[in-house]
Amino acid sequence: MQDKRTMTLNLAPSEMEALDDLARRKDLSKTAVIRQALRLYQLVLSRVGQGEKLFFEDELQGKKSELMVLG
Amino acid sequence: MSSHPTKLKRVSTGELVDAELHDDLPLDALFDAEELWAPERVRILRDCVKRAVGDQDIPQSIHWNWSRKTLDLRSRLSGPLSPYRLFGTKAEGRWQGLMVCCCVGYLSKIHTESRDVVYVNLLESAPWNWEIKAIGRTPLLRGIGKQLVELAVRWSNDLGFKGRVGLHSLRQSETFYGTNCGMTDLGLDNKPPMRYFELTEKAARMFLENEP
Repeated sequence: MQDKRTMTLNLAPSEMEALDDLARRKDLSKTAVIRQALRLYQLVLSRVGQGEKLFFEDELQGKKSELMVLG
Repeated sequence: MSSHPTKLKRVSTGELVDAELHDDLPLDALFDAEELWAPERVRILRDCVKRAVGDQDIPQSIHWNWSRKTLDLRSRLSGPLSPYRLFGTKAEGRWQGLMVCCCVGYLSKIHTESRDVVYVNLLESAPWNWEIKAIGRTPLLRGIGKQLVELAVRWSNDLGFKGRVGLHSLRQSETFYGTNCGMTDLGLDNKPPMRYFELTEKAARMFLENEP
């Protein structure tokens, strides 16, 4: 386990509400939500940086759309 | 990379052998492992062929190659925030078991709400630790698989996933995950065509309580 540091986070009420909502829906602490979001963001940037593309696919409706990520 | 001491049981004598559990292994560990594991795989396969062992009794991971898996993993193990993590058990100067897990993109199939699980992509013990009744082979050391699963459960706890772990099992390992680890069998999945097992929060607590 890595050493941890504490920081103050300034969020707008709507951002805080979104964080609260995610924490509730995922049954995670707010810190855990932010950690997972960081991992996901880094993963996406890293894969896109290697020339890969990110898609959302709806198999039932046969829809596929690319999510444009600016690295 | 961090490590902590543990013990494994030598099957022939029953004695406990000093071992180390490692998390966050570098990719190089996979080459070190496969250098020793590959010749053992060949010996086992040669024995199986010589004794006309049926396909169903040949170890299903006989064709795995951890050094080749580095090609897939090298872009995924990118820094301390990588969603992928490599774990291993070392004893007597060589890797006795390896495991790759991922903590992003896998949801519980038991919960109706969106709950994350740590997903075990790959788990294998060294070929000299396999029990292959068809050719009369007994494992050298025992306890590797459960200790690796324990690492996955502990990582799940650290992430706030409450010990939830999921995986698709090879047919020959289904009893191990279902009975020995207390995971719930959720049946056959189409992609890949293997049975999916999940460790619930309650089963994870029991699993950790039962581990020494």
